[in-house]
Amino acid sequence: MKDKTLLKLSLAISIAGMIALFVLTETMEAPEYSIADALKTEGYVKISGTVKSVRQSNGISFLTIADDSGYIDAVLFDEVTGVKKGSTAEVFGKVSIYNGKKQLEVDKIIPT
Amino acid sequence: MFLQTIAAIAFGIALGTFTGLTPGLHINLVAVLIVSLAAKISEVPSEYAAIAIISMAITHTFLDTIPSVFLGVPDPDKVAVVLPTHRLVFEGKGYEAVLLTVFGSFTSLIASIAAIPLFVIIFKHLQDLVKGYIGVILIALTLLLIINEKKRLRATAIFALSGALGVIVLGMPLLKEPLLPLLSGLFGVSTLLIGINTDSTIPPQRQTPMQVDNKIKYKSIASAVTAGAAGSFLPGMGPSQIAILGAKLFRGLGDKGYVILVGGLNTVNMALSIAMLYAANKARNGAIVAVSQIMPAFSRTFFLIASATCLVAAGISTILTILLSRKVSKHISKVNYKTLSISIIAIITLVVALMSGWLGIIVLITSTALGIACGEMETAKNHMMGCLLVPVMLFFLA
Repeated sequence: MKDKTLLKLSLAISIAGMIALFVLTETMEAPEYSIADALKTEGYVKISGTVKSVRQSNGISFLTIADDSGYIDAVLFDEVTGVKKGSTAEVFGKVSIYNGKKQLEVDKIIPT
Repeated sequence: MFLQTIAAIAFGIALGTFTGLTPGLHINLVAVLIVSLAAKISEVPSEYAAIAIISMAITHTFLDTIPSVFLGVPDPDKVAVVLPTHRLVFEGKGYEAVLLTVFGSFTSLIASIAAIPLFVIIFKHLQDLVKGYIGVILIALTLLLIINEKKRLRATAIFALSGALGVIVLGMPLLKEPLLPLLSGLFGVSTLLIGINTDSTIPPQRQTPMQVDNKIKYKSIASAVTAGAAGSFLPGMGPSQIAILGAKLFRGLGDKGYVILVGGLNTVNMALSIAMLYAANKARNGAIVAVSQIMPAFSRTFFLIASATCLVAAGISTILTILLSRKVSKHISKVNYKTLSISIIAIITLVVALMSGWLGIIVLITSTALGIACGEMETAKNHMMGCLLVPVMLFFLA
């Protein structure tokens, strides 16, 4: 393929790809998991449950979220607002391993 | 204990050899798999998993020299994107390029490990001092790299587009292993496709010994250790960018000195990031993040074991790289470059599909297209590191 054609084509694909990725990010929903199932994955999940405990330290919030299937420790690198012990919430975040244990790195928490 | 440590090092060397020889397969990905495996197999103590990751990371920096020297060789007429290693390949001195890189890696590693007590003291004090200025320092160094280019507008465009792609991809919560398709496309698949399109061929290679002035050797090692240490404070900056800045600082290295510098930087960067984790509790790359996840308490004893692991892995990797590059340099000119490149692209695509799913394939296509655009614009590849630098700059400036 000629250099100029290849350049135009590659630029067009890269810009179109970026737009597609941006639109997908804005529109795709995280899959909802029970806590027991979330503990078996390592990806980005949505869980719904009851806040069993909330603790703040140096601007970091540590929570425990529970549902009928079990509980998970969650960490939010910010001060949590709008939820307290006993309230229910939808929690979005990434299941990761810390200290050899699964935890939820909270991206977004919405009181319900 | 001793036998288990040796087994962990050997396992790491085997993995590092595989990742190093497979273009596009990054150690971060394998490190994540080890962490996940270690969590499932409770019989394997986390120390051994960490040793395996460190050994793999060091081995990778030696073995990845072979594909980076012999594969992805650009069109020799495109002067701006021809790297010093490729110039040596065009002269039939690919084997010497590998020797120079390995020499840089091994000697710089020994020098940096010897200087680790000094670095630990410097890191501890400097960390708090530079913390607030990292974003500004990164912007200043990026501007310096762009000003250094002849085609500044093109370099700026590639940096900005890569930055935008990085921000989008790293902000996609549902994409698993985002760096795998992003970096494989920008630096791996695109280079191979350009090679296929230009019908680039590798001339017959001679196994010439390393011929370089002693003064250049010492200067290159000193610059690799100094620039590598400085680079430990600069997240998002790749070894190729630090090498350009290092070569500006230590002038007169020439092509061979530059090859030693790049080889040294890759390994020093990895070894010093372990020191950085011990001294300042900061993980500077994916492999070290994985180590920090399974070893939250990084004791002095484990730090010494980690340093010894680096030395053992480096020694064995040096021998392995030299032996394998002898074979590769002997046969590479007879290999059908097109078939080889297509096979590697197929492997990368398969790995991306398995690890990152269909979203990863879209990222791979997008980043490959941008990588091809960079090559066609005859702009140096290091500007595509904007994909990591822009998100890092935004994080530190926010």
